[in-house]
Amino acid sequence: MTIIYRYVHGEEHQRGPFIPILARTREGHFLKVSALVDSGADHTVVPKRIATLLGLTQGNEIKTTGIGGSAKVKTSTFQFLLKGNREKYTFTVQSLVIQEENNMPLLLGRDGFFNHFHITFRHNEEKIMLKKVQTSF
Amino acid sequence: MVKDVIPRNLDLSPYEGEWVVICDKEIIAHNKNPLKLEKTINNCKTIPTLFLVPEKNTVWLF
Repeated sequence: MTIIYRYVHGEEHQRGPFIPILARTREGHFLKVSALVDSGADHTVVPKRIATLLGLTQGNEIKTTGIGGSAKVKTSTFQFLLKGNREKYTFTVQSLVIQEENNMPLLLGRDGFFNHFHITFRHNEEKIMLKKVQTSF
Repeated sequence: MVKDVIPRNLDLSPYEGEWVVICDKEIIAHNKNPLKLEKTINNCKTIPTLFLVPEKNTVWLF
């Protein structure tokens, strides 16, 4: 089954490959967060304030390096659901909680997510397509 | 079927650089600090959507 999302509307700088994920809070509730699908990110990155809002438990502090420079992060486990047309997928991914209180979106990185879908960025059509990888047992 | 992440009738332009809470297809709160939206989020009867509206002249480099 393929899930297709249209880019967020608005001016050019507002449009991008966001998808709605249902993030699980510590209390077991769900909050729909628009996450930016980032094929360049190894891991899912959660802004500190969003991690606090979700009640994520944070572990060891480590240092990361990216094009924007180095940043201090803490390791965490992040649970979320992705709803398709009729189907629902559950994920538990190792994530990094960025410690600076800057304004950035939740980044959905490759580890633990991209291996479950064939992901196509149709940037010219402003759409992102996610097709579930069929696994046989 | 193509899905929209954010209802297309919503005008996001007044909220650039802010987190917005969308409940029942309406923006019900906005703030630069999402922690200040917690009460509003909890008052939404359906599952609310949280979205950071990208800001003009700001480039995200990750």
